[in-house]
Amino acid sequence: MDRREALSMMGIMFGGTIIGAPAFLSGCTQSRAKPVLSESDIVFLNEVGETILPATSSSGGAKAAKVGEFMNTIVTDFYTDEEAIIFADGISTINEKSNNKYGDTFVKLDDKKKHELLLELEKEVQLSDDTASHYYIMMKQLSIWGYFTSEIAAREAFYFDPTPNGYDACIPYKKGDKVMFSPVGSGGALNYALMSSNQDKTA
Amino acid sequence: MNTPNLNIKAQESQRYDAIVIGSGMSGGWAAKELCEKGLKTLVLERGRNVVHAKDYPTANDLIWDHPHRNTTHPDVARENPLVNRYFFDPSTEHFFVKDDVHPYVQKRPFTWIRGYQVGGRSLMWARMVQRWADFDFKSNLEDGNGTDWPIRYEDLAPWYSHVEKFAGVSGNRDGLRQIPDGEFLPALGDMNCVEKYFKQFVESNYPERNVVISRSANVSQPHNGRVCLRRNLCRRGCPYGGYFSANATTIPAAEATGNMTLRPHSVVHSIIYDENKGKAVGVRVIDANTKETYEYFSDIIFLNAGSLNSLLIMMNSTSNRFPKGLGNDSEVLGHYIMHHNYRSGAAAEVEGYTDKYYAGYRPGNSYIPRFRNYGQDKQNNFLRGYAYNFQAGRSAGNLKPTDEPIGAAFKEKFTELGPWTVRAGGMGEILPNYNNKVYLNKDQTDQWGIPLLETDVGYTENDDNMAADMKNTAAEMFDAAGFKNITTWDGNNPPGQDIHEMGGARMGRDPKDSILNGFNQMHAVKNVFVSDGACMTSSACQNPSLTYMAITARAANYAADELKKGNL
Repeated sequence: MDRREALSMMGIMFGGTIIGAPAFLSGCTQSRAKPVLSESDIVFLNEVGETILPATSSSGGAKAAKVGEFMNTIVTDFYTDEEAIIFADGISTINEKSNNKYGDTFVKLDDKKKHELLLELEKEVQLSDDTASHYYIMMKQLSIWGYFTSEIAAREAFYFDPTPNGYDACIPYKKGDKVMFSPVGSGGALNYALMSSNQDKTA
Repeated sequence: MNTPNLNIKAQESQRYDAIVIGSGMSGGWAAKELCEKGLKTLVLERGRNVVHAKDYPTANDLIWDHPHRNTTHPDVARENPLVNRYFFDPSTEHFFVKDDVHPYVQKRPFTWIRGYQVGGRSLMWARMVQRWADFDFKSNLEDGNGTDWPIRYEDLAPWYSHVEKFAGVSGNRDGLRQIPDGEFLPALGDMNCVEKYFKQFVESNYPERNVVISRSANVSQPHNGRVCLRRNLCRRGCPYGGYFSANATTIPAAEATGNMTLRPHSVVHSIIYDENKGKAVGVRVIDANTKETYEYFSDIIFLNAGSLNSLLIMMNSTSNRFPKGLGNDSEVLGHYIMHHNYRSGAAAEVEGYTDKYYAGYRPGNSYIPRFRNYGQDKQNNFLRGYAYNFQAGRSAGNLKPTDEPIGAAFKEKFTELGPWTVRAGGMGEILPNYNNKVYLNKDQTDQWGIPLLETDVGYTENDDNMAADMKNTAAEMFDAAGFKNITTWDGNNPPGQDIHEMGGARMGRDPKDSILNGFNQMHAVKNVFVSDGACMTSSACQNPSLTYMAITARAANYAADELKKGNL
């Protein structure tokens, strides 16, 4: 797999290129000021996150992990104005699609309809030439990033022991056993994504 | 340069037996040994003080406590392309020099990662501490590259032991000539099951290739009041002293003698040479904050500013006697810069072992010692050899492109344990080469008026061929072992990223082609000693810090004895 394919696969599976990659959207003309997300936007984003990474019997979901607040922080602090505009416009676009299809805003849909709608966006992204600058990919990436670096994920979706005070080199593992949470470095979720895709290691 | 008016009294009050320039990996050792020998020692550090445990602000942070989850702001990453290549993130950034604060000039691309504080880069290092082999001290003599080392393994062996016992080195006694055994605490942990399989496979299929646990400067059991809790957060500074840093070990030991004066914020301008006395008499320092100049005087001077900065100080220490830099009669000062070839390697997936895992962290990897151009092996397109940093592991994330892209099943797959993966990164020896050099830039100075260093260091054909072999041989072994989806890389990344820059004031037997003698003493200025990486005559392929420590302890004990004998 070449780098382009790998990135494209990562884009589909894990949510686009690394946010803040150089010249991510360079050349775009800035049409208006950087948008400020509202409380209701954050509620909306928590619902998007929860649809991607829902609560299950074994662990809390993205809403409990407050990924909406995390998305707001990253969009405010890290995103360029152009990226933030695409992101904020995406909130309106999803609500328009929701209204057209189901006659209600996204937040008010039941879980099944939310899931259906996001699956449609997944298909739309797969047909897109520029997955990295698609609002849905931004939301999906931030959901994954925010959730898999949250305390809820560390303590519920994973096994977390900050001071193991020992190392057991070989233990049995069966499907369903919890995996050690990795506390190291930046973006554990991104590392998981890189490790589990077959992407070219020179990338 | 404005020389301040210092009266005699002031000079007397600023007199010490010894001055150590630098407080990091090797400077800390010089300070400890000289202080323990009873010498009143001034330790000059250009950066701020970092007190063990107290000044590790992020040591206990959890990733979700950080608003950006410990991810570097894109603007900071863009503004710091150099330092951002190493382990630079919000949990460690306070220990790294940002690119624009201390600029240097790159004639050819060279990554110079620095940590300007007490403890220097001993706070953020990778802690791999293999001893050099007997043959590493003879390679220059044998193949004619560089000059012969004035010391042999036997000269250094007792000093390896000396520093290992104090620093705390964990490892197995593997009985290998390439990486001699030392004074080890038990290894940090065993190999995991895939590493054990690969060890068995390699050792039974390739004569003279071995897979061992890397010796690591983490303490696997309580040692001098220090303990490693296997948190795997070493680079933030360890409040438990789990790994060797100058801050946790040598600096407190020097302080405990009552003989050390530590002066942070002290940018060394130059070493003062007295032509009448025929020796160095002191050090000229610019206070980093006030920019005022001070002079400190001593009988002996240890230069441990961190390889390239030690060279910069020597080059900036000019006099009528030494117009080309202190001790530079041979005119090799700044030449023969070396580093390590970390460009290439391979990774693969492992089928099977899906019912096996490991618990906790082992803050060190496995290690494949040098096997090229060793024993019966003879390569025809490169000299010397390399080691591999090897590891097997499993991470969360077991997704395939056909899996559900969202929802409960997606989340479950994302948290499920993925396949085993293996990775071998090459660490290659660099030949000493006259054309790999650093020098003072003629036009630009830093904010203290000191010339900027210019680097002119690059790879040679030997390095390119070795990089190709590091990549291909790892891939071949993985393939033969039955591993799948093998990927290889040769990043051809600029030299320096290994943070093993060394040489430039090499030790040697002949004053005509070296700067230092076998005790790290300047041939031409007997009371100046250089014992950081600048002193290196060849690079071997082992991580260098342990050797810097041993060389420094040896040199400091020699210097103290010579001083007592009245020879300096």
